[in-house]
Amino acid sequence: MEYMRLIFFLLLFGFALPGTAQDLHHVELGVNGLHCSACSFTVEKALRKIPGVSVVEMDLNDRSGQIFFSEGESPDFGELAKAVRDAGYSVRYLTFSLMDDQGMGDLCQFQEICLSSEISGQGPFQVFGKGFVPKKEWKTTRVEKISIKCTSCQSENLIIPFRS
Amino acid sequence: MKKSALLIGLVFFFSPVIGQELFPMNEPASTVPKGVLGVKVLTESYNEIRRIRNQASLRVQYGLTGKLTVWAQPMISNHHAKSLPADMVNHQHAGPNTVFFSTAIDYGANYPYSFAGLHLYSKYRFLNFDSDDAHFRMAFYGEYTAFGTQAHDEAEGHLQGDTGGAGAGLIATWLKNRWAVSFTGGAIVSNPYTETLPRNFRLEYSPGFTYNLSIGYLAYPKKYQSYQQSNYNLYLELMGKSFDAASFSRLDNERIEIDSYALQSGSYLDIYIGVQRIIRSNDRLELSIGFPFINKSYRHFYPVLNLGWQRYFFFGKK
Repeated sequence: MEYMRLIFFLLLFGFALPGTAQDLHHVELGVNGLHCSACSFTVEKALRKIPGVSVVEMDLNDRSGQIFFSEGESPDFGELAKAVRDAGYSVRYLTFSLMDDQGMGDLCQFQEICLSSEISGQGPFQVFGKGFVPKKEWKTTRVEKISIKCTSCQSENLIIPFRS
Repeated sequence: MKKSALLIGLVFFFSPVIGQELFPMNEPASTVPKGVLGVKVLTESYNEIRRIRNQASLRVQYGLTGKLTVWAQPMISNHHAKSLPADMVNHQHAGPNTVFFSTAIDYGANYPYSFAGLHLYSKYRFLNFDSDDAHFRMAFYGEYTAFGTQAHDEAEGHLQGDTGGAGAGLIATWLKNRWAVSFTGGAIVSNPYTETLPRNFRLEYSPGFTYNLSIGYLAYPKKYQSYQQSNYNLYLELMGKSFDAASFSRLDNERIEIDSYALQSGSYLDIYIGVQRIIRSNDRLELSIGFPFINKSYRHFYPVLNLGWQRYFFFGKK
């Protein structure tokens, strides 16, 4: 009976967390190429269209935006980056922090992003990958030198400590 | 005029302000966002001796992808009559032969407003290097004007309102810290104008080369506060074109000697000084005035007054 109860909780845990990433409430996006309020307005409109995004607050002077998610939802990071690209701009950084550092493994599984071995604590963290950092940074960084924590990971994108 | 324009150019180049690339006259390499519909109304006016010539266009543009923009732009104007001016071609008799020759027309004639063609345009941004406070972008474009069958009586082809035909070129836009500059170079091939019986004229325009340079300047605000805040931008744009002489003939291949300066080869550079107000980060109101800088265009008189309004429509917004 105890064994059955354990399976039940494991299934519940498995279905609930990877799909919702409840620890993640918002991310910050740095956007390159923004040069006017009309451009910033366009990016905000594009991000607000993504399901799961509840509020977008762009900083016109800093060329960045705070993206807040609806309760229990966390959109694919790739969708956020694509929305910026489709608006005609590029992502400078995507950072986030977690309320609970135990949620990182589930977040990585849900977002299909690998975890660098440098990761610890609650953040801030940064997604490092093609489309998540400037082209020049992506091309010049020796990704193979970043050690990966998760052994079964297949993604080219990594979560690393935020390099401000 | 030249000295003052150069001075303005130098001030723009070195002044400590943020650059803007929403040029009223020139297209930047940047594109319309994916899934966004843009509507722009443009007018061009100038005084042709005793007649105000106007052209109005409605540009409907759409971002097919983040890198590909297309637009369709119907145009109307009172630039031309339904056929070439009666005084454009004269003839004299030499024995049994009739010799035709072109002469300068009487400008300022009254022409009714008529449809001036449908301008189709596509722009693909193939290169972009973006950083926090700078970007360099390049795009190539293609354009085609359908139904451009106006009786255009000058050698200079002009796909946005005077001749039908096709064109293509490259755009390079650079924004660095506090200034923006964009160069467009391209070529156009205009369709010939033909007039059947009783006059049987065929006027062929030579291919032309376009070269435009734009500089943008954000005058206000110095620091952004909200989307509700109006932005004021200033622009200096050089719009140039080179073209060979037109070829004029009867449909029976009898060549008509060209004696009109408007049908000769030419090259020129106009300078446009523009101001733009962006309201609520979406509505663009713009005014620019053009003067001759190097040589003159015979397609229009000076000064040329351009007015524009543009708005983006976002679908599926929350």
